[in-house]
Amino acid sequence: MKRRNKKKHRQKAAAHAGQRAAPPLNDPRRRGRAIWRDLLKGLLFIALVLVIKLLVERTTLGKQLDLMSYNLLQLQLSSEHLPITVVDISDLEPQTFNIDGQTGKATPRAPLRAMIEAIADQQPRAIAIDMDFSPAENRYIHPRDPEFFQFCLDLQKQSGVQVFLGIRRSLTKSPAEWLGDATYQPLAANIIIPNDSKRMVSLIRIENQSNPGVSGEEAQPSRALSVALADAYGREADAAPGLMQRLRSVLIEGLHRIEFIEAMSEKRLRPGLTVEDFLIDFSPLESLKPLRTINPVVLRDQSQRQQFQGKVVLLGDGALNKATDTFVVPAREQPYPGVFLHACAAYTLIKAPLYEVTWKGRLGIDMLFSTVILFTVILIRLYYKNRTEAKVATHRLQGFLTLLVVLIAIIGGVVFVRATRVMWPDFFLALTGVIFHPAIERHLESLWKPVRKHAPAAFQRLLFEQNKEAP
Amino acid sequence: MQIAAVNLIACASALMLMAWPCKAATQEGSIGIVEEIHGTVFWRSNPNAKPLRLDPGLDAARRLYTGEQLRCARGSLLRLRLNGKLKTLRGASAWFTIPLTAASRSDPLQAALDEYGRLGGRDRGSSLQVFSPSDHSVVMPERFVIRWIPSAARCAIAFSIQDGGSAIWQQNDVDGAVGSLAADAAKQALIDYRVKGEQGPLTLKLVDSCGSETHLAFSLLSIKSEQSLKQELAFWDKEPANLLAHLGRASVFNRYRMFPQVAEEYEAALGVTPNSRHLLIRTILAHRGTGNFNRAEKLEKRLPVGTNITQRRPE
Repeated sequence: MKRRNKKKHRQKAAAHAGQRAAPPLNDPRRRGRAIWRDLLKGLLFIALVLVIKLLVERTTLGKQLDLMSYNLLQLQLSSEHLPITVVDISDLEPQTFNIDGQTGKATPRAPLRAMIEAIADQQPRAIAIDMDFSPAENRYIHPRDPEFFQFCLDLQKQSGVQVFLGIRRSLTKSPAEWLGDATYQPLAANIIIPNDSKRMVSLIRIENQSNPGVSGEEAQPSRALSVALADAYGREADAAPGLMQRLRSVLIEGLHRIEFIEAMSEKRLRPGLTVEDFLIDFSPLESLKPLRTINPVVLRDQSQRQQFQGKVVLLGDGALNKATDTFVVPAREQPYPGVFLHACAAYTLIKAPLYEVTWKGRLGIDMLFSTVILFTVILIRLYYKNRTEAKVATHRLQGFLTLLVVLIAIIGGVVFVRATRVMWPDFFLALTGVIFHPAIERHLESLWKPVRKHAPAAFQRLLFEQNKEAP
Repeated sequence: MQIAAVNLIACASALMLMAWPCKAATQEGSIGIVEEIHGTVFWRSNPNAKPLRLDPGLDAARRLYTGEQLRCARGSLLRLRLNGKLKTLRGASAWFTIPLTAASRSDPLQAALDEYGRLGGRDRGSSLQVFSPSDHSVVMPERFVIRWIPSAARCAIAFSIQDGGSAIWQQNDVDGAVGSLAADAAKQALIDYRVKGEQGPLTLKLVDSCGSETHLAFSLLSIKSEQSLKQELAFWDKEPANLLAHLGRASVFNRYRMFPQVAEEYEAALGVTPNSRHLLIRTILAHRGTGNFNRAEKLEKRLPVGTNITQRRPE
């Protein structure tokens, strides 16, 4: 009551002095109100900036920025100690055959067999052939295929070297038909490469109800060639890590649990058909030097032992002018034959998977950046509300925090992508949003001021007739 | 309080906008869209479902699924795009059922897989390498020529251009060693196809007697785009400097995604300045992009050993 009287007295005094009454600028209550108003205003602007970013993401420019950022992240990755060797068999030309009345053209099996035997002698962990061996129209592509498949199985038993053969045509059939007979099923691995060649197939799952030919235990997913090779080699990421690695694992696990990142993305292509795929680390492309030979003597030579021993070996068309399966890959100007993509995918799984920031994760990061800045400024202002009469330099503080957040984000999200393995292609747009957020806020505020000043009068003029006094 | 209400509305709107892609992501497997609605049009999910009236604004680009039904009221019009083909319904019409696609009739799982990815490895034989039209390029019907790397095995090739499952042109028994085919019937078929307002994508299918099969997709340049292309090319034709004219034309063709023509223009430019290392690299990259790896390899031999063939400036 006393305080109200004092205020009235002060206002009267001011009016008496011919001045307009106004509460003091450093009044804590007024400051408090201003802080809460700024908080609400800040939240509104965060929502607005998020909507703008979402709209930009949908445009061609947004998609190009995303791709550009992804390419930049890919270039940050590096590879060392490749556990994979590619043998380029481009010189092994397909030949026409006429066996038991069956004619056609296919890659001859005998030289392949000799090459596999030679490589197996060098004690690799697994051998895979990047060719489609699946039968067509219920017939083997080459009449000698059953013998060749049996040879691969026998070699596996005798030497312990796992052998995998590519399949594509028979993928939608039951697993027993992948290589023409259930006996050969363990050899089969799919060699599909998604049109989005940033990714590689992990598993293709066909459910029973959509495929009446498949029933019960037969309905098992088809593994990709890279997955089969990685399984045969073992995942290095599972090995006992150091302290930093353990910390990273905990962080990754946490982000994975809240679905901010994912290593495998599941896509339902149609009812009954699901595909799991993952991002490929293309960094081995620079260091993968394929061995171009089809000569078993060269492959068996002791000088080649370190190329094969303890590694996984991929045989396929590696010459650009010979391979018919070429793919455009991120951050590289020339296309690459499919065998290199399988090799990079196997490397990714063996070393450490790449994590992709999910849609939920992107939203979470955007909100986190904006709210961290907003709440830090608000908390500082609240802290000093009653402690000092000096006004907190909100804009300068906001600018400094923005710079800090952007720096941390660039260091954590881009520079250290090699360590984190988290691909966050959204960083360019997200950080642009954070940087321009204060400017957008200020511009909108300056636009709003004249509107607020003149709009009520204009609205009244629009609604009511003006009083014209009679002469 | 007012600010809080505005905040709440803005946040809710933002969330709704953000949630929209989730809905879209679940709509996989559609076989067409609603392109245009004039007047009163009804939709129902199946013959037993209650019909809903479509809104010309809100339901434009609505995805359509097999088994759904649409009907126009008197004086109304509905344009649908099903498997790339235009379908028009005029009122008053009976219920039109969205059909199964040709591919899905035979093996829907295979069709879905084909849409998702392709073979990343060697097929049964060495398939033919076609470099004109190149995969996912754009073609002018009048200039349509098929070029491929000649097959030493002299296999006989059967060509066909397909729209969905149906062939709009085909020719059998072409010698694979020839390397090119300029069929007037193919040009006419493409001209007729474009007159109907269609642009593709079309599939060029090659099956050879040696057992290999090659598919590639291409689209047609619309009549309107063709006119603007000609105008842009005419600008460069006026250029007195021959080299600049070819480079300018190459950039125009590149913008229209006519990649084999880009390579041709670079070749022509290379004819003017045969020693330009930069141009040689650009020509090699253009040939690689179309799939003409033989020509790229020949040109590579003109470069010093170990030259890094990239888009960057040669050192």
